[in-house]
Amino acid sequence: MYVYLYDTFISEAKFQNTIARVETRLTDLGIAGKICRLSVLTSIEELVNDAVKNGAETIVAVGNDETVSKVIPLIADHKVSFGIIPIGKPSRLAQLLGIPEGDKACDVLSARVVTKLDLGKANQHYFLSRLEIPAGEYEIQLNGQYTARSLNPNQTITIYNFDSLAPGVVADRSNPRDGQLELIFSGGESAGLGRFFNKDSATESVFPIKKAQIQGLNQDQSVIADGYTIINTPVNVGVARSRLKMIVGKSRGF
Amino acid sequence: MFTKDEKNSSESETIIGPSVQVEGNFNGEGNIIVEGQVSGSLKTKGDLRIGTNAKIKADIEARNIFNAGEIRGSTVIAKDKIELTKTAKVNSNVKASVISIEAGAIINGKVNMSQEAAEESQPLELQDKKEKNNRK
Repeated sequence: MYVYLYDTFISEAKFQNTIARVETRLTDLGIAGKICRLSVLTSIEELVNDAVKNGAETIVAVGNDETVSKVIPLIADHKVSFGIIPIGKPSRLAQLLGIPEGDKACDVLSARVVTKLDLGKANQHYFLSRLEIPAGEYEIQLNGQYTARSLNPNQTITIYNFDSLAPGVVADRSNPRDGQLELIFSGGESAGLGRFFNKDSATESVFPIKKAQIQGLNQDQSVIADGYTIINTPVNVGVARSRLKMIVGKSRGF
Repeated sequence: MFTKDEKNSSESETIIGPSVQVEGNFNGEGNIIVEGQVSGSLKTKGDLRIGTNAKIKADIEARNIFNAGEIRGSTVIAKDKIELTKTAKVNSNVKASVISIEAGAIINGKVNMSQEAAEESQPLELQDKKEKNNRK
């Protein structure tokens, strides 16, 4: 049984034509199912739990990356398949997974190419693509064995599960089926003339890891999962191997 | 070997960039490129490449070691080969089966090579004496 979770913004007038095409296509393909609409009054957690209790085999998030980032942590511990129908602003996660926007995503659902993906875990929260650590002072312990820190305050730190659209080595290195994450120090080119004389300052650092502990050295520091979910430090990061059964498209980036 | 070759970088598993500092016991299985600072111990089953500006204060163990930077530690062990370029500075004991040292490299420490290589380099008289003792 398919359960479709519609995010709140789907009810806006500008999306009605797209939704109508999606629902028609789902019916034509024989994969129409129960529609659950998120609202201020309904908890997404309740909707997901009810869907699983009622025997849903596939849960589909209809919305954008924020919708996906809300649903994934809730289904990670259930044995259901997960799909996406991207609606609204371009979805980076859907692009990584090879899923086109709108009604064309229905054909991907119907083809039902299911692959098990690793998920990253930050404290009790699962993330699919990346964990961003904003600029600041941190102590980062990797694999329980060593610590790494950047001497360049302008560098950004990101932990990737996969992101084939990211610049630099991340696109080649990250893989959602390899049982590990990649911690990347990147950017931080010197300002002014320094960038012409010190080109090395922009070189990326790559650490393959299975776990990490991130401790903010100042108050109220937090990290951001999949671009939306804020998690306060200290954060324990790990890999949930093959945790997500994902319906993917042919043009996926892995 | 230490130019910015993106192909080499992407094939290596770990890259410690010039502005990153690592402390502790680093144990890896793949190749490592170090252009920053490492202290503690650095061990891998793969190859280790140390850049010109890298500074390592650690015991090192790898399959092949290519060093153009600075190493201070008690031991540097290469299972196969260690190669020192003209900018390399090693203040450490070194052990490897094969050692290549470019003019200008600096080593302050004992150098031990493999047992087979040591026997081959002994004078013939000593080798004959050993064989006679073994027959007895």
